Amino acid sequence: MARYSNSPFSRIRQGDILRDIQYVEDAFLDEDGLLGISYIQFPFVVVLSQDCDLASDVRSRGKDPEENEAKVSTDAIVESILVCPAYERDLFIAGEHLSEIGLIKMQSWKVKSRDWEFIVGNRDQRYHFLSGSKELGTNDMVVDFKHFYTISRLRLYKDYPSHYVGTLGELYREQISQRFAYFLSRIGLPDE
Amino acid sequence: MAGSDETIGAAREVGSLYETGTGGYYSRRRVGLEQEWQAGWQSVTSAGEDMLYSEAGTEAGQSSTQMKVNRPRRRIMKFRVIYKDG
Repeated sequence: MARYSNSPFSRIRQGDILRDIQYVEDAFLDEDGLLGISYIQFPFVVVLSQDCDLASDVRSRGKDPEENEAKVSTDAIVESILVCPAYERDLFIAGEHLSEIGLIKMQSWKVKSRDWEFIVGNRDQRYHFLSGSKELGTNDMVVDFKHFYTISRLRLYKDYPSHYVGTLGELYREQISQRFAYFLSRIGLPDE
Repeated sequence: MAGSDETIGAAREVGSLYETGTGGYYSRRRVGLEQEWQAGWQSVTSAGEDMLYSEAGTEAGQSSTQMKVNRPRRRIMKFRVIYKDG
């Protein structure tokens, strides 16, 4: 099975990789009375909402993904879509992948280390390694499961046609989905 | 926001020609894209007289044909709020 495909679909799918996605983090009035809108632009994100939920959402809206009113049923609509940013490998290794949003002390990694091998092999539960693809024009990337965001479905559907990069193959999509769910459901025990 | 998004979208269509460059950067195939990008923003700001945009376009030391676009970035747009009576 191919690791990726790059066939845009009629709707957003779980496992879609999107480019240059904006996440609005705050809206505020500053000291001069100006309305500020602060957002983070992520070079790449992976969609992790359940695919059946995304399908039901579109069906509920009458098959037009950009339709924001539920025409058929309101029971199965989703208002936001879950995504995880994917960071470029080299920046991630250097711990500099979030330096432009003020997080300058991220962990760095030694390439020839057991820890990095674990990340590349998807054996570190916090991270998910995505191999680069010539077809998609992407470098190796790393997803950090501690970083996840929800974006308005309407916003994401407006961006989808021009921001679509590719889609994880079905098995690889299931793999990242399951690993993400496992990471979020881990049980934190008190330090003894 | 809608107007600004449309303008960004137009610039991005050209931007879809991004290709993977060396050193972890994305380079632009088309010289002048940045100018188009900037022009896009200028048209946004001229469309809304009371809108301010607070982001510098090109980072210091970077050429117009090589901008870092592979790191998450925080951007802030500011608008003057106009209250209308009634």
